[in-house]
Amino acid sequence: MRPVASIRRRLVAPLLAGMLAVSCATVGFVYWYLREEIVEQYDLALLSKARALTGVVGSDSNGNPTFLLPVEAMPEYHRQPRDTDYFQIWRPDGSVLARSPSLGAGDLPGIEAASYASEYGFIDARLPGGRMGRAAWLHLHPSANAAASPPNPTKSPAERDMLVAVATSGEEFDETIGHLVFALVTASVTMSAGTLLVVLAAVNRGLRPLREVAETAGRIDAGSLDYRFEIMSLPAELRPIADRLNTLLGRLEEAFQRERRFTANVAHELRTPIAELRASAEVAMKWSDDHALTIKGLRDSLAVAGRMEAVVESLLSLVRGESNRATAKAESVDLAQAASDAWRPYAGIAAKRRLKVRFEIPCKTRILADRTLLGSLVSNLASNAVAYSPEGGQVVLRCGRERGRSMFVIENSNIDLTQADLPQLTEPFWRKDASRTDATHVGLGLAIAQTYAIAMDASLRFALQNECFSASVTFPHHPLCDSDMTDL
Amino acid sequence: MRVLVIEDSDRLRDAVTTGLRKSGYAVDAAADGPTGMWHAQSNEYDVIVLDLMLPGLDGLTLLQQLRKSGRNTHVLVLTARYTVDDRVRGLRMGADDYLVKPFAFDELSARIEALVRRRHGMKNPRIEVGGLVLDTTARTVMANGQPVELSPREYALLDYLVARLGTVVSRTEIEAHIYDDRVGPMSNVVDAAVYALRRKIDPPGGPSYIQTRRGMGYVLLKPGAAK
Repeated sequence: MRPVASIRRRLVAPLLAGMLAVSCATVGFVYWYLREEIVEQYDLALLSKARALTGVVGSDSNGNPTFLLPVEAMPEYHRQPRDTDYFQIWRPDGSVLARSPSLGAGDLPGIEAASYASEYGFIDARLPGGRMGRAAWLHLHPSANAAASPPNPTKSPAERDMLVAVATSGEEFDETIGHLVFALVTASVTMSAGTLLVVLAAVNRGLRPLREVAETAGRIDAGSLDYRFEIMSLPAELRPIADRLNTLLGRLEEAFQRERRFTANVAHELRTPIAELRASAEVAMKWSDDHALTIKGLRDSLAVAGRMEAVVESLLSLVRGESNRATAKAESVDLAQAASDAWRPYAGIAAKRRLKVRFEIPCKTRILADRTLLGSLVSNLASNAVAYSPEGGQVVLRCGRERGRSMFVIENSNIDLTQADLPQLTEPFWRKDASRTDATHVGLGLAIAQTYAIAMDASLRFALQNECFSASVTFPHHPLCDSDMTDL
Repeated sequence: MRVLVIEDSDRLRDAVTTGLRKSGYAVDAAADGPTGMWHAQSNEYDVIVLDLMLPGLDGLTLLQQLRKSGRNTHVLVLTARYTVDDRVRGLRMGADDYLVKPFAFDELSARIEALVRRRHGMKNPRIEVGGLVLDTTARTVMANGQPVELSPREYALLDYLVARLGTVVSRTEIEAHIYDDRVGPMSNVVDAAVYALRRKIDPPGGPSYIQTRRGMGYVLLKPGAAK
């Protein structure tokens, strides 16, 4: 896969290209505009000179046009080292009335042909010596010294205008244009270099927050998942990303903490009974001549084996619950009967603990559920309720309907749990007592209940209010459910 | 030597306590943090075996409070928390040793012995005092080239006197280290134990290893050492 260009490159390249293009276009326009202005000024200067020459054209007594000033009196029209001026005047019949000494015997080329179209004009002309120059021409009526109207080819030679042309070799013009080009090129190069530096600096500065976020994210590891980005200190474009990162970090931290808790809890639940087993057996064997010690060791080993068996069974139930989803079969189940059957093993314990038990399940309450899973689910919830109600507390089993869905609820008095504990109740091996001293429970009951609920497409929720803990199972809606339950 | 075992698992606490008593230690036991703390601050122990996940007061907090109160008793943490972070945390909070459950009882016993030797500044598990040779690992005694059969209490008494070699040890100190809370010791029990020990280890016709200091206690001396 082709590597993706960096953001810096994506910004710098088009910015540079764009700014350079704009810069070149601007410089080009400025050059063209200034050159045109300079040319216009030069042309106007030439035209002025041509007009000045019309002032020295007169007519003799016969009415023939004459040049009133000796050309020697016009030093600017002699050959100069640079910026030599030239002039030539044609009579209406096309013969030359006067020419500048700088022309020598030659003519200003191309003037007559170019002058046909308008009253005055300008043309690039090849001057004597082969140099290129600029010429201006205008028409002059022999009867007046003012410029005449445009030539008319239908007029007779006697009626045609005189033609006055002035040219210059243009070294000064070339020099001016050269200076202009130099200035513009220098400005262009300077602007380009400046543009490059400014663009690089601006892009670097602009990308700094992104770079900082990337560096910070790169430093986050399993040991620093409590880090959060300070959203308000970031540019607006990065805030949604940082906010999302914070959310993901929160979830990751929670998952890691859950895993750490699980690992620690599993370690305790599995390692402690093995340690008990080992210590009991080793001490009994080490002092095997002490009969009473040996018997105690064997009895303790048996008890621990029993406990480990219960842990293994619970773990297997948990795994079975997770794999039961595909095999769970929905059938019409009498909820009152199922609850009563599941409760029966715990009735004795509840009586011993003087718990006040109440059944609020209407007769003929039927739901659609897997009978076996339902029984195990209610059994686990009942076990939990009986074990963790304080002595003399209350246990209530009831069912009803919520938004058209069947619901089973078991409530019990509880003085140990807090709201913060509720999200952890279904974590395998979680127990409120961090020391896990009570060996009769391992903390899998509610995790197993959760997997059974999921296997039946039901949801299991917990609530805690006024020292009353409730576990509610909501079953999926089925139109064929024959139930006379009331709304809860 | 006197050991305190703080462990909330009844079976494990019983097994460890029984095994250590059988090994000759005087052992007190506690099933929760507050009771363990009370014992640790009320009595002088050579080693405290401490579980971390205790009801009432967790092991690490107990350890912290113990160290803050100036108690330098050697503590061996015995726990199911096995990760490197857990071990490092425990040791940095003041534990002297860390043993993960499940464990071999012999290893626990050997680590306790090592901590006891450390407490009394002894590096060598085999100690010779003149003709008396004590092997603290095998818990055997040779006197004048002959093996000597001692009861656990007698061995514990000799072990303690050897650890305090050359130092006068009062009866009260002997009671505190050799007897646990199960026994209500009386001073003549100590005297009787010393008498029984002398009979087994002293060379026939020679001066006793254990000297009596009237009104003060007993002292174990190398033969030829100044009285």
